[in-house]
Amino acid sequence: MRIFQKRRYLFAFIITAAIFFIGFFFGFLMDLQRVNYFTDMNNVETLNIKSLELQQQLLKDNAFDNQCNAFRFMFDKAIVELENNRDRLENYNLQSKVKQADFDLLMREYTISQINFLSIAKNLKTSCANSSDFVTVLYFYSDQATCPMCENQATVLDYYKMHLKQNILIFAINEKMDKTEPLIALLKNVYNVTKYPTLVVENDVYSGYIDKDALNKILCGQYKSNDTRSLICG
Amino acid sequence: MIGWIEILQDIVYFFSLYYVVFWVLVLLDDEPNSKKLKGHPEVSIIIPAYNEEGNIVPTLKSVEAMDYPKNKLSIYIIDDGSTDNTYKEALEYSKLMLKNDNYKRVVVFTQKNQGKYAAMNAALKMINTEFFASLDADSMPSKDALKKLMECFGNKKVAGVSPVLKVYKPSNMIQTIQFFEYTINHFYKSVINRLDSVHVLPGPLSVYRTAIVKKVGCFREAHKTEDMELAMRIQKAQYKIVQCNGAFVFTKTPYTIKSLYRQRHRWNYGTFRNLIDYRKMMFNRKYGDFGIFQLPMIMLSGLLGIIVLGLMIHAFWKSITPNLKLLQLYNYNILALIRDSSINMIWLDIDLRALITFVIVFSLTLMIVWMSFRLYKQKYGLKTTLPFIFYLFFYYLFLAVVWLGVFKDYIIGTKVGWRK
Repeated sequence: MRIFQKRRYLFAFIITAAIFFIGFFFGFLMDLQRVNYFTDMNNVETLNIKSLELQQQLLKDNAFDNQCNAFRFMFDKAIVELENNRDRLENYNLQSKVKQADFDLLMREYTISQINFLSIAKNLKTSCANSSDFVTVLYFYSDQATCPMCENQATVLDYYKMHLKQNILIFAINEKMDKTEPLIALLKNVYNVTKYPTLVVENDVYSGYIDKDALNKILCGQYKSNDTRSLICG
Repeated sequence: MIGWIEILQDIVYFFSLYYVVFWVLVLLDDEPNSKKLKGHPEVSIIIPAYNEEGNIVPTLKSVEAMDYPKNKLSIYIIDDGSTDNTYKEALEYSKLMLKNDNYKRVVVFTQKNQGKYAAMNAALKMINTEFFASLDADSMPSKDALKKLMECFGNKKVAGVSPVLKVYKPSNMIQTIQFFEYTINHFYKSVINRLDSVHVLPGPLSVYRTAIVKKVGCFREAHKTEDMELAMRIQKAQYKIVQCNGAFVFTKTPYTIKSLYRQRHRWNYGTFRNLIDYRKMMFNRKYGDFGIFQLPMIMLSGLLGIIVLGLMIHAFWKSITPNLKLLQLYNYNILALIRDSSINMIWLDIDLRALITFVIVFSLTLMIVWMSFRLYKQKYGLKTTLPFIFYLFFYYLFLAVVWLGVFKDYIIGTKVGWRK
């Protein structure tokens, strides 16, 4: 019988498991940091919304004369932050191994913030019509298994966001959120969303995948200023 | 959310880490004291050659240059039906050898091409020395290699002693990458030597105890990897195989990626088939660490390599696809895409777990490389930095491709040749 040190195999297993445990611990710490970051960010978003709503009310009441451009600037800044954080939150949620419930809750809060911004954006179009040459797009999507074309649709929307910047406001809504947030179920009912992807450009509903050229035609008709039209209408 | 890809990644990380941790634990143990063989017993050196025109004479010259007493050496050169001038060159040089030195015997003969194992067995029938060495006709031992190898036969149970292989004059990127591979392989073999688990006696100057080799049944065809199969049989018969760390042999290595692929495919295919043939030794406590650790690890390393290759392709494809699609929407105008892009990153975006894993694996790899260079008595040259980077990041992916080819050929039943 040859030498076989069972102890060495066991030691190696314990050390490997310990290193793995440290790895998981770091993963947990990372998740915790991310949740804390988004909790803080969410407080900022809530304040932003409150501030924007108040500003909008004051604009409506003509308390702020000719301040639409300044308001638009603040609105754009806030919405860029919101979009970046939503993307980030979605990625973190996918990577999360331990704080899944917290991320789901944060996703819900961000979705509500998005709808708030959508509402402000729609009001902005009436209260500051001259400085509001932007299009709002509500994008309902699902995961890869139930919506294989959603990834392509997201890329097309990314393209227009990169190209048109603040002239297009995209609000991405994960269909799964309707289980936790009644507001999403309501929106789905309002726009009669039954399949994915679905785009709501201003108030027009487009079900199914819309490619770059088709979306170009839809968007082109929405802009008023020549500057913006030249960016998209060729 | 943990998907099957993440589970697979964790399994790969765990096994790889376990393997490295086990190595480190083995290294922390005291090296076993082995009794040295004194004196210079008679040795027969068998040099099988197939189409080694241009190589055979430098090999014979290196044998001549060895500091082992010539009157204790018998040389057998077997031309295995070469289609070039190997036989003629060997015959002419052997006459010079006999004229210049007092070798016990220098025999050159030719036979119909039957393969290396048949050439070795043909020579084995003629020898009557206690020890014999096999020497590939494209390899050149260092001056003191045989002396050092013979010292390792102090224990009567030692059936074979393996030398340390070095790449002969690496002259291009492919050969320099192999230089790093051989260096680290040497370290790996010295670790498994401590576990009494050496699984191959390579062609370039492995020395055998003749009686044991004859007892276990000489060389076999063994899927063109006779050196590995014989080592397996020796281990199965409960004899010892030792790695001799000071005995260096220089060997010529493939020069092109195609020839490297073919060589590694033959080695790995043979290894895989032999592992299947000797599967009963796997996880068998009767064979100690060799059965419990070494054999399953060889099998697993091929499989893990393929899984890692698959995971890397998946990760690469996943990261590149959205950008490719975006580029397509920009009508492949990269400048326009760059102009419209913006960088938006915070430290929380870093996947800390992946980063830590990478840092641990990379640090351990560098530590092993450093230890390998020390053991190999080799200095690191700055000029070799590029091949070193290629070795670290791409060579194992290449080996995974080789393993993929091996599994494919095994499944569809392709025959593998050994000719150059």
